[in-house]
Amino acid sequence: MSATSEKTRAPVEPSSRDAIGDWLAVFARTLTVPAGERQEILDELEDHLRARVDDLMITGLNEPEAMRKAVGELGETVGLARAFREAHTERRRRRTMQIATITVAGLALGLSTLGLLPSGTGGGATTPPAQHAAAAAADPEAEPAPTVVTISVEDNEVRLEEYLDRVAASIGRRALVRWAEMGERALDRRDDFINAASHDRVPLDEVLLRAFAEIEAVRVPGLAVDVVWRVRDDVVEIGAQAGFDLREMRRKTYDIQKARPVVRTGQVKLAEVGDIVRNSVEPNAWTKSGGKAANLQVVGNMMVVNAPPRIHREVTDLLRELEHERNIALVSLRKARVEERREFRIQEVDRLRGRIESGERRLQMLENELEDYRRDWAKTKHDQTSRDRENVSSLVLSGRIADLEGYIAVLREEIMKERLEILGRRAQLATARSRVEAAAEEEPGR
Amino acid sequence: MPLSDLKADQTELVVLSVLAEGPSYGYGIGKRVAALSEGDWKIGPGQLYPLLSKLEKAKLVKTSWEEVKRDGADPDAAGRRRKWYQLTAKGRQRLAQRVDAHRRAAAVLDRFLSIAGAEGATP
Repeated sequence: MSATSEKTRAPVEPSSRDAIGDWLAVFARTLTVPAGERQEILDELEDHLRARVDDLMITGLNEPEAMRKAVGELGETVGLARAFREAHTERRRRRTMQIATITVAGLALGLSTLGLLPSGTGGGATTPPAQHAAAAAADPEAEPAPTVVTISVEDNEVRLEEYLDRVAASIGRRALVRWAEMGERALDRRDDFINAASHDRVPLDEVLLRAFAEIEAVRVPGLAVDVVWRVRDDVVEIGAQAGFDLREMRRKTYDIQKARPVVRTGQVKLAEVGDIVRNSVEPNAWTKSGGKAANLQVVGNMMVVNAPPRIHREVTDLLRELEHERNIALVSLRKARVEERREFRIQEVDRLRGRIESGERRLQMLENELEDYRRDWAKTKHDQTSRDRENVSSLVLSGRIADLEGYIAVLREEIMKERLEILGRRAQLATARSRVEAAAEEEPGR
Repeated sequence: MPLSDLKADQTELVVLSVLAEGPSYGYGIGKRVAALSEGDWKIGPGQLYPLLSKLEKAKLVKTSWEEVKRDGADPDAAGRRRKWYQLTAKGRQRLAQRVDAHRRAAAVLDRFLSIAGAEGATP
């Protein structure tokens, strides 16, 4: 392989504006990951598409067909963008969730290297209970501060039940363990736990995680530990995620009017916001996809969500993101409309000016014509007078004079009409100009 | 009966295995999977690229960029960029663990299948 190690490069436009370039431009707009990463994703997808097109063309497709097929294989842009965003945000979400999910096999790497554990050092070994009561009474959706425990080893082998009591006691609480739920995780209160080290001011998270992980490592290799705990008034409650989800389920109503995505052709239906939420936040948790932890319903402008706090937190985050995206979309849409109106008004001024000019040209022509007829009339009139004097019949000339007078009358009327027309257009032009100026003042710098 | 679609978990195992053969790039990985499974398994780009992105974040693979040009293209023109993936030591370790877990599960499953074998076997 001849890969270069070049890692940074100025973002570039797709190498050409064809079907692939167009698709990448559309996709770039839906992809909400940091800018540097976005360019890398776009470059990688462009390489994929072009390599695919080359292969498809070998099978006999022509280039446009091959491009259509290659782009079609990527699926709809929104879904793909979401998959990338999830890949990007997964770590952040897991950190904020106060869940310790760890594959026991990963233990060999050492817990601290996994970066999953909040590593707080605040508080003391014996934080006053009052402080905890305050924390527990506060919004359960707030990020909990890490609790630090200190326990010393008296004998190295204890039962899990006893050990958990001891851990809880070290911070002045008792342990409330949901053993029924834990049974599903193949954990048992009679499990022996080899307590290898004494802990001095170690985060509660880590101590509990170590205990559970170590037991699972012995009993069921390959299984994931999925244990959650909460420090409440006077207890440390320990259980499985699913159990906490059911106990902490609460109903919350969200106004989704402002979260509805905007597209160039209009607005997405409100019910679709529900689909976006279900697909973006823990897709497997929702009853619609067979989960138990959450359900939602869109009623009018409102979305009613039944879910545990961690899901509510993510729903709130997602709606805020959607509102933000919507605002950006609305602003750019509004800008485009203002721009269109401005263009239209400038064109209107030009159009009017053109019509006035052509009117003036016609007026000039009519006046020239009138002048010709007048001269003709004067000359004919003069001829008639001299013939009258010579007693020559001037009947023919009289007819011509009558005709000329008729033409002159018509021309005068035409000229009058043209002048009025021009006056009218001048008035329109003045209005159109003042509109363009007003629009320019609305938007300074234009 | 057609094989069921790959589950997310299996996709990771398959991709790590392909990379264990040597470095590759997204489209190349997809082709290798189709070839090794004789077309029974396909990893679509919508699944593959987000997964690769996840593997990179977890430091199971490391990446580098190469400039590629189409056959017959102007040698001075800028080519497109190709992202190469290579297993890291951590990735190899993860693969070994995954293979081990898979073998154990398969062995257990085989025990059940051997009981059912008497009835399920076709003559």
